[in-house]
Amino acid sequence: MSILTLKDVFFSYGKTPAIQNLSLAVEAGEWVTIVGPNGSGKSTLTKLIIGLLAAKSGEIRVNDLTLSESTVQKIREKIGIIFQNPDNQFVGVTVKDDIAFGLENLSVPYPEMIERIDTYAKAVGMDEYLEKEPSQLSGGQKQRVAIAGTLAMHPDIIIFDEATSMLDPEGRHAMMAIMEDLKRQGKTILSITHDLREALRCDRVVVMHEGTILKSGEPSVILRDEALLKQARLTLLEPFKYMNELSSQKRLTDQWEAILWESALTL
Amino acid sequence: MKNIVIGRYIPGDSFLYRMDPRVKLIALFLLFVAVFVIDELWVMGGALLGILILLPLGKISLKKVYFGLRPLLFLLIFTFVFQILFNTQGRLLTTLRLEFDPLNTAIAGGLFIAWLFLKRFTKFTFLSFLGVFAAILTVLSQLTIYLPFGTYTIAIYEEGLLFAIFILLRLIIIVTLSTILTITTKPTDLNLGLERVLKPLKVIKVNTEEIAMIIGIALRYIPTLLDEANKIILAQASRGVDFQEGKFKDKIVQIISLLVPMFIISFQRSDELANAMEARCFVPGKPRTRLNQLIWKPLDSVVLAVTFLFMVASIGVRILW
Ligand SMILES: Nc1ncnc2c1ncn2[C@@H]1O[C@H](COP(=O)(O)OP(=O)(O)OP(=O)(O)O)[C@@H](O)[C@H]1O
Ligand SMILES: [Mg+2]
Repeated sequence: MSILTLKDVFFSYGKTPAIQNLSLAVEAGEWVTIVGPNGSGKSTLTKLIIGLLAAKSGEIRVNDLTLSESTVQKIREKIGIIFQNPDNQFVGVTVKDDIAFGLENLSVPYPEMIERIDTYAKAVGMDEYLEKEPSQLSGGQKQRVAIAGTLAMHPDIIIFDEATSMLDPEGRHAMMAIMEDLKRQGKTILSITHDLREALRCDRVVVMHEGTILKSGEPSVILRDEALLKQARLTLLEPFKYMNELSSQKRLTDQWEAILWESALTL
Repeated sequence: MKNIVIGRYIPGDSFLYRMDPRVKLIALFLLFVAVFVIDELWVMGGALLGILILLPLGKISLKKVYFGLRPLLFLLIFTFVFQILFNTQGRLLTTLRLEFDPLNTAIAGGLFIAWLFLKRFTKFTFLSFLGVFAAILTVLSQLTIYLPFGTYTIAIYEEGLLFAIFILLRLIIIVTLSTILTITTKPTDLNLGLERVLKPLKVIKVNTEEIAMIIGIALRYIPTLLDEANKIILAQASRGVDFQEGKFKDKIVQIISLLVPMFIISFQRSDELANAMEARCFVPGKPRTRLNQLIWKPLDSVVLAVTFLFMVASIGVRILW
């Protein structure tokens, strides 16, 4: 059974629908990347999943819980979200306080709280910054604190909503490494981005456009589909451009493909 | 503006740092009451002496306390001088006759201008001010060579002097105690302490936890918003808005050009923050455990008992003496 299921979800802020006829099933342990241009409804989708917004119609299920007013708290416990702006999700006055915030809300007892803060600050490499205040941290460090705060709550699914878009390249790479690590630990990851480089390592890419899913499939297929990406106002990554060119000239060997794929991974 | 430290907390370690914030707040309150009740000079002097002994014991240098007092120095002097000049009750103690003649007035004016000039270079603004003030008084009262064109007599009365000294000591003690509190207590602990101390207000339906949460978030976001304001000022300056000068009308335009973006940013920020908090399972009013634990130590009981006794004693002295 899928860990996260959306069935015919519909939502609109005013008259124009922001999400329409959206169905998606995510398996446990899967890493799904949702790509789409600005305004395609990606953030709206995350807010629907954790019940910050209520769908006008359709059904959202996490494990065997159907999202409703009575289950929303239970569902939020299973899902962690890292948002885009590192500053606007830092609740605590210090790193330690911030990691603790979610644990306090879950009423985790004090000794365990200390233990978890320790473990997850270490896991994201922020254990030496526990007493630091947000103004003393870089954007990337703040995002890592947000991840620690989320992981400490032991969620099954972790959603990254453009969590790297305000970071410098270094911060972005660190973030990608953490996602890969989480994947290895068997967490389910839903990462949202309009940076196609971040879709290379995942299991499945979902392309969103105007509130619906255009297509979904393996990165090696989707990321080469020029027509599809164009429709979603996304540009092909350089290596895939060459790949398509070579293939149209019937010169694409396995070796070339492997080299170009490798070079894409270093972007 | 980057270096503004809210609450002036200075990391350190001493019994003052280790005290429970609840106890600090209650003790502060008790001492405030005592200081307002005291009307005997020797008790007040004793209180001040007590503080002077407390400081080294708590490893707080006089300098730090002075930094806390500094913004209020001129207020302190003003109230002191005001009391002395205008309170004419009680026995006349002494008079000081100032005679203004062209020469000494010019010298006094020169001294003052010299001080205004020197204060940019010397660190001891306050001490030098006192020195110059005394010099000016001396010149005006002693050095009269030409025919004075005006005189003024400063008369100091017993009540006035006493009252002035009381007000001065009271203010100094209150500010010093508050400074000790903010130096030795992290804003978050202070906030938590306040929340707990005010808990009884729950009876009259004041939600102390929510108030504490709001204060906590304010504490968290003040530095960020200051940063933001700086950025906006720079951005507006690069578009030609001058924040330093201008007429009243220009000033209003400047302020609006700062406030409008600040307001919009804060609004969006609070919206996103609320989402992030809810996503992390925050439910207003739901019981939560706390990372910051307040642990009552024997020391806390002792401090509470001592301050309480001091307050009772001051009330006793006031009634019985
Ligand atoms: N609070 C809101 N009120 C009204 N309309 C909104 C609101 N938030 C988003 N929208 C609209 O809904 C649509 C989807 O927005 P959404 O933020 O989900 O897009 P997105 O894919 O996350 O975009 P981005 O890449 O810019 O983050 C957009 O057309 C947007 O203008
Ligand atoms: Mg978005």
